[in-house]
Amino acid sequence: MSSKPKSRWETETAEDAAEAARRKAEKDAKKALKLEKVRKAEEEAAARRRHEDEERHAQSLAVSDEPPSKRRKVSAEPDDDDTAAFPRKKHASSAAAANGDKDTSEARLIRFPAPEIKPCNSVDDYEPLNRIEEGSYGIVSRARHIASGEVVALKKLKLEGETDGFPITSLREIQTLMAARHANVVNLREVVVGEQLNQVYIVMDFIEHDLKTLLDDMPEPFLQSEVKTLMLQLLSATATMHANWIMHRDLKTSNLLMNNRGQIKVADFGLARYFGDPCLPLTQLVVTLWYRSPELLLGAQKYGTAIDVWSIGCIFAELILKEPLFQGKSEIDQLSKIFELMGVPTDEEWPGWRRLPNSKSLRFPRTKQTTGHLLRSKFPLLTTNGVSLLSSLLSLDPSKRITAEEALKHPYFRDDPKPKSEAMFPTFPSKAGQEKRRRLNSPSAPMRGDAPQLFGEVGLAGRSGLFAGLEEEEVGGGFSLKVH
Amino acid sequence: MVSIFTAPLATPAQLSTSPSQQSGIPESLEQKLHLVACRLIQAAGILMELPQPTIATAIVLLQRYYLTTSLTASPLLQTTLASLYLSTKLTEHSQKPRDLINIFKYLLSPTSPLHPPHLRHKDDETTERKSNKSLYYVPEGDYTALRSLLLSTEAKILRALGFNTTVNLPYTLAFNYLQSLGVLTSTSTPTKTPDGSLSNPLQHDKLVSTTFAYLTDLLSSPSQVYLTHHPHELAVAGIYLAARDHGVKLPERWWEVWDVERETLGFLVVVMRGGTYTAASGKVWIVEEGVFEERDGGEVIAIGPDSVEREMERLRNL
Repeated sequence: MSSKPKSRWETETAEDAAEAARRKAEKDAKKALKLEKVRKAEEEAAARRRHEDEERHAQSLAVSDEPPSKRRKVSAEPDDDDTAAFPRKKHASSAAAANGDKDTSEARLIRFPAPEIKPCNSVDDYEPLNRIEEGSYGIVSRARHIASGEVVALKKLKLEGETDGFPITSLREIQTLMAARHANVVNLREVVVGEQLNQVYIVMDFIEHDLKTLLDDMPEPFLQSEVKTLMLQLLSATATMHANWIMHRDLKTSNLLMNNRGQIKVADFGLARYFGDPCLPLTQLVVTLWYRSPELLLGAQKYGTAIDVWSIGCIFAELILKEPLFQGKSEIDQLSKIFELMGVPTDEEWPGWRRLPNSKSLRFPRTKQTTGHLLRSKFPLLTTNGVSLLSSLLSLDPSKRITAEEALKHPYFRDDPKPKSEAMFPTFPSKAGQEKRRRLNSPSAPMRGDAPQLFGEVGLAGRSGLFAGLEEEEVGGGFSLKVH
Repeated sequence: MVSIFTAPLATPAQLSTSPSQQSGIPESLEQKLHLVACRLIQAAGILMELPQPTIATAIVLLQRYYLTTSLTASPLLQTTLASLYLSTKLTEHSQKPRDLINIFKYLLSPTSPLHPPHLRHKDDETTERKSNKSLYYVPEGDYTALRSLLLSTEAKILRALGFNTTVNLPYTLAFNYLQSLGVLTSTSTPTKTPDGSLSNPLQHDKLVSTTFAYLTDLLSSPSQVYLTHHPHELAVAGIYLAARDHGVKLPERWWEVWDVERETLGFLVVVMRGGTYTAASGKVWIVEEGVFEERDGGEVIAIGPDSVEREMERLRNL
């Protein structure tokens, strides 16, 4: 105030000076009060801690028929009374000396957190807001937690027609979602239940968008720098899932949620499950058709995390193109579209692919022109490293496909333009938050049942003049292919 | 990453106030019934050729469930059935409710080795007993009733556990730790020690199986340490005892490598040494409905709610 230059309006008076002094005193008093408050809070906290310690101690005494080690400790520092009660046998000093080991002090042991065993809360804790989406596995709606006022997404599991108790798919969904904790995996808050035994709801954080709707509505596709950030997030979430022995088995843009802070979250673990090494025969009815990998389409019964990586490749392309890469109308059309772009695999490229169940009954045109990928011409604006990443994500042979962990280190992410900071992402109005979502025009995840047997001819129209017009040709009995 | 090391644990409050005891079941009776539940699950699992992790998961789920629910509210038979059924799903070894019900019926029938011998009728000797299928035949009505009980109990277990069904078992950790300790030299390159005590590869195999045996025994220990200790602590304790049994020398303070305190280890070793709940002579027989009694060097435990009710009445009047 005093440093302010004097204006010509200023009429320096004693009154003003007194007023300024009064204000300053007021401010100081407030400051002192605040400090006092902070100090008091600290004191209180300390007292509470002491009290808790005492309580804990009392509790341990109360259950003194329980041996002391049953008491769980949260803090890392060793308890004094413990060491007094059970004097630790020190290292044999001779051994330590012989090793030249100076560290004879207490080893610092990690203490692991222990979640409590507690029953589900009631769905009545939440107040419904609006329905977001209805899928084959349940209804998702927006709701508010009444106590905290937080807005969440509530997924009601469909259990009505179940005859074998709680469905194994829902068990897997909850188990894998609980295990796959990651910044880019949607956060499972809790599972709540209703009055009836078949009313079970999964409570997740509410995320404003899904990537599919967002891509459809955006006037311009994401920038390269934004694509890189999104890909890094997706790859890191997938790498964590795979490291925890979880396969998602339904990665697609409509299952990737995006918030207004530039983060994507992998959601919908309805098809996810734990896998083992060596892998066991698993159902082929996984992954939405457009994101399904060639080995699944060809009927491989043993597959691994590579199927998720293929889906990531499709998502990568979709982020650039703003539309799904392979939009097949049927399994066989899907294969045609894949081979059209990626080339028919040769036996060197993918040894043993001809022995896959569905591959035997399919005829593939095979000439020089049909092998090798055409990504370069499909993505003219993508850098060389970008094309290289895409082609390794979309490698036909699952054993040669890059892993999510390796892909994170791909040079593409170090090229200019650098990945954009999450904070710099644009924001969009949320559809899920306000209005009913549009029905998506993409095939839904495969339902339980028999795996389809593929037969017929895989057309590669559009690949070269040689195969143009394949779709007009008559196809033998069964069904006819429509490719465009 | 941390997730395989942690398990949801019981709080001291949960341990000190058992719902079963609050509903009038004395502690000794509760322990007997818990033991019988473990025996039944273990036996059924073996007959169905289920892997040990599936069996152990079922037992841990059952123990967790009875932390929140009383034995009177959720009778033993349907709860054991439901927890085993749930665990086969969780561990990807799905079984049909029909098979489980049949197996349990057999285990509780007079033909089962768990059945007290003095209650087997002398007149229906082996030949007749084998042909008498009605002893372990489940009539359709009983089956339907038991099946719906099984499924509703399954839903109740899931609700009581807050759908947190993760059960991390110490078996794989123990094997991993044994490998890291370098005491499991592969059979192809047996170590040549002068005294020859460690060179026999078979001894190392025994080290693993003894460790696993300790861990399996702990499942039916009345201390319910699977509810109070994390899997790495159990694994270390199992290894400690197995190594001592086989005279395998391990480095000093090796347990600290896996973040286990000496005190914790000591407690678990005492529990393991204490063994499982044993009757006067160690033999436990199980019947569905009957009288609790000790005779012929064994103990008969009945699991039916009516028998439990009668036993509670008897103990009250003592």
